[in-house]
Amino acid sequence: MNSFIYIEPSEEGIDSITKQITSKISKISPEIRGPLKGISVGNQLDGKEDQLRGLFDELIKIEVPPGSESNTEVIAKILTDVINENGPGVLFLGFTYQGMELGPAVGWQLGMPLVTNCVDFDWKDDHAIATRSIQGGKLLVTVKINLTRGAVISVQKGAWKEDKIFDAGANSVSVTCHPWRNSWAAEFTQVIGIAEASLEGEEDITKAEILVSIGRGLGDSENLPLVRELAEKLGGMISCSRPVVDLGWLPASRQVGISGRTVAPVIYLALGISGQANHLAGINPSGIIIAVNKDPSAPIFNVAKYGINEDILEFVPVLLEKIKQKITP
Amino acid sequence: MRVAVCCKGVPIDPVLESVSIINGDIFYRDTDFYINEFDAYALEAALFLKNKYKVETIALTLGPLRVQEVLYIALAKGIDQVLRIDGETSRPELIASGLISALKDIKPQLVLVGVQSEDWMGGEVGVYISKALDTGLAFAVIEICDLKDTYVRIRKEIGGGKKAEVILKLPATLCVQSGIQPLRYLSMMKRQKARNNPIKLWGKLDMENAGQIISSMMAYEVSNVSLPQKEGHAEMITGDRKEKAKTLLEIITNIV
Repeated sequence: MNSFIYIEPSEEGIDSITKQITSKISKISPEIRGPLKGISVGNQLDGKEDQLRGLFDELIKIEVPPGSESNTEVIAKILTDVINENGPGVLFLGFTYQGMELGPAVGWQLGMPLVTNCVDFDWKDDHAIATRSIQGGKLLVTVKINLTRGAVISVQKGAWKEDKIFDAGANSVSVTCHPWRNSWAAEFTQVIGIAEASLEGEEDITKAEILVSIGRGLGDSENLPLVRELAEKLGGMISCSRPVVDLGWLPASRQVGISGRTVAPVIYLALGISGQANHLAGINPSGIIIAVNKDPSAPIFNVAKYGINEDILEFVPVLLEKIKQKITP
Repeated sequence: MRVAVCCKGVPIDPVLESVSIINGDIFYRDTDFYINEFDAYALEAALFLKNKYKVETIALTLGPLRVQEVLYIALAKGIDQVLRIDGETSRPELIASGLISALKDIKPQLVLVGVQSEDWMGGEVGVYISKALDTGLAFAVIEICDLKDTYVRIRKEIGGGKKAEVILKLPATLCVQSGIQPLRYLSMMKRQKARNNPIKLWGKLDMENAGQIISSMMAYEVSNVSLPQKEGHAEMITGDRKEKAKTLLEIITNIV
């Protein structure tokens, strides 16, 4: 058996989800998991080879023409062929937008079982026991997977802790380069551009020390001034979960999570945010998470250091009053 | 041009006791069902295409009679035709298998599916549909920019605040992200009126046949359902509201 790990592109080099997966899988006995093989599409890791030490036994590097490295149709074909030709094995990837598309595509093409959004994975010879969230993280299911033919496993970002120090003294990773094949060319899709939302005139929430972040629990955009005042009084910035952007209450530049930004404030104050996995993926590097939510079973309380079971619309005015008293005793 | 939109009925806030596991599959009892929110956005996207490009729209769902409500919502919002495939499963590959059989008959140029379901939270079904129908796929679509006879141009999220603009040959499958169009309010009167329409039963999910076709993908089973462990649970701040606010302020002041 082999363990394949798809290395998601990242401007910083190796993305944190790849390191999280590697940290977890490398602790499984090599006799069970086999060699750890990273798969990289394109030239994203050129000049960053040192970052690979201690992460993988082997790097499978795929050459692609410019523009194809961001086409998921192309990447799915490549992963399918690589695993087919170097397997059997288990493919691990992040439960990110790219992984959400690639996992089922590769699983279907290879006829392998796919378990998405995993938060735990216990590999035992020919089978594994995985745990995944359902119902917005309010329930967990245990899944038994037959690994005889391999499997595809996507992992919730932040569910597995990243080892801070990898073995810097480890041998260099052996690199196998695969030249481009015409059979990998896209048949159906053409990526014509990639753009990042402009932050012009906007605060950059990734730079904030304190983030006052709001979710659907805000109830209405009319209540925004309340949290704006709180953010101002605490010297922080406002951010939000996805539904707040969908409802048009705040611009996408304020969004935290898989589809928004990953933030690392000293304090992340989550107001009326339930804590869906897609949101939690963006707050994992935060120092201290404090959650206020009227639902005592909200999954946000499972990741927060401190929790308050209150309706934010009733609690925030009281908190503001306390701040005012502190300023003018 | 024909546009199909797949809508799933999902349980509303089920508790642990309402979930049962039979033969490695999850079933929900004693709970109400409503349209999966991501599919509700896909429905709005289909109606946007109907209004702008005069396409024919068909909504379909796989589930027992109790999820028929999602199709009444589709009709009430203006979808032209609806159909139900009878069957009950939480396994995404089986749900996809049932939908694929019907979609092969309908032959749409565009299939719209919500990016994931609120209950299983996996995002597999739309991808499986695209693979089985051999169509192009776009995931996390936030805008349908242009629709022509031979192609569709879309914008999709790719994470980290970035968006990609993609052209897909038709037929194509689009996994629709929330927020693609505003969710419009639906009055009870409209929903009630829609309930007077008969719902076409397309057929029954052939579990045995589907299981054989995708047998190798079925090599997993759900064995248990539980509440998340409390080990990582927050330290809850107690007291009356003023005391909680005071404690919270002290914590924040001490940290910063």
